[in-house]
Amino acid sequence: MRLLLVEDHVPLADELLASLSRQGYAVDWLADGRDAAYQGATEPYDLIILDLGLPGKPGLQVLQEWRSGGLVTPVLILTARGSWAERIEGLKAGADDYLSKPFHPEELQLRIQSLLRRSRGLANQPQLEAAGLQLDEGRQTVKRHDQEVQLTAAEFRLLRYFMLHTGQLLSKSHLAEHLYDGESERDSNVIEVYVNHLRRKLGREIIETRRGQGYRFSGDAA
Amino acid sequence: MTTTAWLTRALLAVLLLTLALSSSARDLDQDEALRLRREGLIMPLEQLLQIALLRHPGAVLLDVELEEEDGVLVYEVELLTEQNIVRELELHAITAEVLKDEVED
Repeated sequence: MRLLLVEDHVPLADELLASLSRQGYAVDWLADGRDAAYQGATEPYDLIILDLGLPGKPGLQVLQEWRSGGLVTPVLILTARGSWAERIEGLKAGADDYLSKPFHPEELQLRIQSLLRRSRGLANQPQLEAAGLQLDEGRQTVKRHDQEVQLTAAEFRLLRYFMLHTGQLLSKSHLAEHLYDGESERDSNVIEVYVNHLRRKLGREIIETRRGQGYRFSGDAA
Repeated sequence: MTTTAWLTRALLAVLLLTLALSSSARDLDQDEALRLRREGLIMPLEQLLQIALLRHPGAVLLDVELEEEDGVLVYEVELLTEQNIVRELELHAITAEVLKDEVED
């Protein structure tokens, strides 16, 4: 999943970038409201974390612009402690959830998880369940037929994306765009490699190849 | 923070994560890996990565695993080269000897 983090407080942004990348998210970071208004509307993010006190353009205005332009991406706002007025303004402007600073990193992690599931129409259960698999996002392992299968970081992030998009036809470039920041990954065989890894671990049938179109995750393993 | 410091931190994060998740015959948990590292029984990942990157300058790190294969601790590293090819390298976690370097498919 690809996230946009808009936060001008560098130490906090630094900490969040490290913890979000440990959780297998590809994260772009911006500190200026004007850049955020543009990039949030043009790049295909799965979720946006938006601080409201930004240089360049206030976060609230950025959010209003996104929503009036029809952007449906889930947005979680970061607000000042105790400022209920700010939270209400944020929710009115189209935020899906909020966190007041300071917050525990695990609280952000769980809110992101639940927002991503909700936006895909999935129940917010302790584990992500799709197509007969149970993914433990905290431990980054998957269970199939009650058997636990270990995943590497790269396998985990691909499987999570597939499980949030079960049955959907996903092109290679779409997957690369949502899983990696860099341009190089997008023109490479990275996706093929990790699709093969997942097939080896979970069964060939779980991911179907549609020649010239992409992949379809069905989870139907023999 | 400098780019190098940031990279090192990101790499450590990837390693600590995959240590606990390694798909080998025996999984090394985070505490065990830290102990091995502290006692100087395995090479630090950053050092091994430098060796891997000497063979593939400009490559990007994709994935790391620490595995125990037949009693030998092995770092399995996947890199994306400048030619946009994924390569899998295996390095001896103690001697840093490159045991394998091939195109991954």
